[in-house]
Amino acid sequence: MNKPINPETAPPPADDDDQRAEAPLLQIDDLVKQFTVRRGLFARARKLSAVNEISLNVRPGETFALIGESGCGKTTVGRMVTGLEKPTAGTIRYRGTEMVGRSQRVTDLRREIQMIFQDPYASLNPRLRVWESVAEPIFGFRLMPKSAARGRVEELFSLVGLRPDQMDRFPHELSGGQRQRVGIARALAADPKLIVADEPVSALDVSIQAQILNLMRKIHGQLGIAYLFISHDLSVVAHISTRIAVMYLGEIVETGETRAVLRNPQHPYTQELLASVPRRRVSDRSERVRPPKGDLPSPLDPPSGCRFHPRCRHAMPECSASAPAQREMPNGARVRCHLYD
Amino acid sequence: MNSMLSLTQTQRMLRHNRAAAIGLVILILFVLVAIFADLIAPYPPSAANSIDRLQGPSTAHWFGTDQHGRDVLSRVVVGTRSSIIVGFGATVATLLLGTVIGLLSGYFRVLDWVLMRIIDGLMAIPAILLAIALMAISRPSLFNVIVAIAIADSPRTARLVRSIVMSTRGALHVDAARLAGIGHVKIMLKHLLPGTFGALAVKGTYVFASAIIVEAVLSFLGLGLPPTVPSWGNIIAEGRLYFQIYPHMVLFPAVILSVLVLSINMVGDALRDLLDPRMKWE
Repeated sequence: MNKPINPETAPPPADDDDQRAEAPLLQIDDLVKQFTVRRGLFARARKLSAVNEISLNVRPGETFALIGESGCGKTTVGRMVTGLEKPTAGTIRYRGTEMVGRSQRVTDLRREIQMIFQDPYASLNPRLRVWESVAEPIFGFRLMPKSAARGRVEELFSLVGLRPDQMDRFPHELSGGQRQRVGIARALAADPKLIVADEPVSALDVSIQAQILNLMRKIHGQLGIAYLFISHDLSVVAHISTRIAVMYLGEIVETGETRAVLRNPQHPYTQELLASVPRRRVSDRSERVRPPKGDLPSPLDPPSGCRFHPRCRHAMPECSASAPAQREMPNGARVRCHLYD
Repeated sequence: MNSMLSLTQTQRMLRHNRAAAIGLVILILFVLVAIFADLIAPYPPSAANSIDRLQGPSTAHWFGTDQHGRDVLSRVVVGTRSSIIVGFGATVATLLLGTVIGLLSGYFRVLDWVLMRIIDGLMAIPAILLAIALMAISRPSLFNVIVAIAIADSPRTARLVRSIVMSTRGALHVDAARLAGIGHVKIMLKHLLPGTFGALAVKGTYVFASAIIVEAVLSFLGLGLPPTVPSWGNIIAEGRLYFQIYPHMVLFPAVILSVLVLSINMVGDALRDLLDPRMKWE
């Protein structure tokens, strides 16, 4: 989706006062995830810092975008929110309940958090007819008698723009876009309030991406489901999200209203990320900033201080010495950068 | 799963795969021979006739006679029953045991460590030695032979199933099933087990063949079936003593054994293709 980014087209934040009064649907505080990596039997175990002290919250019915390069830990955040991965530290609260353990309440709440996966082929069991995959949450959570499940799946099929006669197909008999529609239908079958969409369109043809995004937007409008939208593609995020968090190497470097962040990015990394999006008109390139130099450092051995400093054009001595604190900017965005100390 | 072995698909497959069709026909023939052995055998398998002993093939005795003058064809026909029963029984028992162990250890990491150390221990001993050791401490009988072969052979099946389960456990559709509130047992049965069928079908043919051979060795050593029950194993074992002068006593049951094993392999290969939903038989 190499559309030019125009902050004006981003959906306006829904009524601010109203939203602020409401408790967040999802509240993440100081979330940490480290993986233990061991190469060979006698090698020393090393810690891979995938996610480092991330805090964010998603309000009911909101689309919150989590953006960053591949390998920055955004998928890991999504998997922890859905419970597929256990946090090393920090808390995930959903509707005020801390999502740890297997208590009945936590299990019940897990149903309301569903996921749309990046690869719509790998996320469907090749041996099941697609309607059986969509019906899985209905059976798994005993949402209705088995006899009624097929009718419910038919409803979901029409909601996501599939024909009823496609219910008995196998995944390999559908196109990529159709398979992703099946994946969306399955997420909706659980009757969720929050959907973690992990790069839902990046595996699809560009021509199909817009269709799936429009479908997700339509569902958002009809059912009021909140999205935690994970993507590496700013142009996708610009059109769908109200708020955004930019991740770099396991940390959130900038977060705020999507319009504010895209119109006036504060953090050097956000600026360079925006600059790396291809523009249609040459005039747009006048104030172009170079894209980030070099490769993403290894999360096995993250840089000291600010994790972005080896690639930053504005790096100062203090950047490698100490990690910057989060500061609130005049436009409402919160940024972690020593430039604003 | 329900669709995988539909009749029309099977028919299509057989029409296109000659080897599978021939293998299936031969296998069915063997099973029929095993069932109706008493009617097909021209002589009672244990009727000794010292005048006709050690005769070559003739119209009266197609496969010749052994050192006691017993009709080799009749003994091979009746022996088919033992071999088929041991073969099927041991295959089913081995696959069941191996699959349960493999599924559990492939899915639950904690169990894996314990189970795999036991499996490693069993695999350190050659299967045939293990079966001999197990039979040495138990009474010769059909049931005990099947159990011994299953215990000796299942570690390899368990390893196979475990490796397949470990590679599919991390698949996104398994994650999706977890998010859909599907329990561990159902995930194992619905998402992980079907992925092993193709490999198990092929594995089953090797188990079948090796079970027949292990049974023969056990019977040869007097540890398998009681000597009064003819099996291909003890027919070959007895004929071995006379092989250089009267090779027919070994040759005929050995050829029959090879034909059966080959036909099972052809069916197994075709089964593997059929169970893969991406292979279409148009």
